[in-house]
Amino acid sequence: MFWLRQRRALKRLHPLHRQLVEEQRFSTALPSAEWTALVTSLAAHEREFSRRKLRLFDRAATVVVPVLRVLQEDMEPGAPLQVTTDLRGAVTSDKRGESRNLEVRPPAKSGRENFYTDPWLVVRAELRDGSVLELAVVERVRERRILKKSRSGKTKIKVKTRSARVVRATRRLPKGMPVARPAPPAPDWLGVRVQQKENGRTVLRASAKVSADDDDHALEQILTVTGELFRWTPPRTSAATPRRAR
Amino acid sequence: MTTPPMQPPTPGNGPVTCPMLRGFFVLGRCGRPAADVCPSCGRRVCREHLGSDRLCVECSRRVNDDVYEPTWMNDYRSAHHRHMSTVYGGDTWYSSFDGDDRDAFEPGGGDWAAASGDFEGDDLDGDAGGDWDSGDDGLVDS
Repeated sequence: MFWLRQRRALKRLHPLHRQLVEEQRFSTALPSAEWTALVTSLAAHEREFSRRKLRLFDRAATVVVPVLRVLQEDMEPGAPLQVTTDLRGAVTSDKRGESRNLEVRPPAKSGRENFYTDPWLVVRAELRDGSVLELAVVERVRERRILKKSRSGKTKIKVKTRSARVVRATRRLPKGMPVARPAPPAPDWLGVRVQQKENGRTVLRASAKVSADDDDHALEQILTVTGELFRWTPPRTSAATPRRAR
Repeated sequence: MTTPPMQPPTPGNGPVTCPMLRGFFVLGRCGRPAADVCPSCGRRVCREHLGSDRLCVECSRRVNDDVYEPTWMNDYRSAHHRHMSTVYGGDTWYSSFDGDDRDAFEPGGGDWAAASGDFEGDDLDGDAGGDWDSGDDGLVDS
């Protein structure tokens, strides 16, 4: 009876919310204002579902939803916001890249090293000031699997993983928007590149490699890297003047 | 990311627009049609900037860390700008102060008022100020 109630509730969910519960991922582009329906639906998730199988990964509430809300705040309601998220984790077969054997010594019998690339959040947003923001959060994981055989004959597999998170943000400015190097420089861990395109547009890129162990500060890291791009352009002086009526 | 200057209320008989701050990276005034009056500050604000306690997001002093709450953005924006000031060595620190913070430094306001609290009676003006002109630097050798 209890399960039946949750299954009915699952059918009533926002389609993207349901996809996130069932597949832990989605990819779609919607007008900015329409993402509010997904956020509202996700807000009720804890209340509606208690089964472990139907729980959402923490990153949905700690990173994906806040990033959505922050970008919505900087967009016109009709401007397209494209989000691709995959919360299944990095160590899955379809994210495995390079792989090689390791040289081992007894008691280890064999060893293998696998590398995984997990772009778990990719966003593209057209902002109110006419610029286009692209954001990618990528987890890179190195996994080492060592097969050992003990004297008693037991075989054990030891797995060690080491991961790093790369946050990349790109802001394509509208034609003619002035760019100036900000007075306090960016911190050492944050790289910035400015590219002047032939069509008169300027492209600002910021990237940083940060610790992947600290999920509590993932949002801060992402917004700090993204925020660097907005220090290179002067703040808007006129208020609430939409770029174009949609 | 500095705060744009406060826009005057909509002139004439046109529709009143919400004066609250909008945006995270691209800051500006909200400009949506005002829907209700904040009972605390009397400003007319839109529904999005009205908290569940019927106060506008600037008057509502509750710290809101629930990302699903409509007023979360206002609190998180301030917190993030404070965090950014530590990343950039404090140069953007003053941009995170709001109107209430600045009001305390206005002449005649807050604790700096002549008759208020701790500063009353201190020998920092009038005759006592003469001490500074007499060549006595006020320091005593021990």
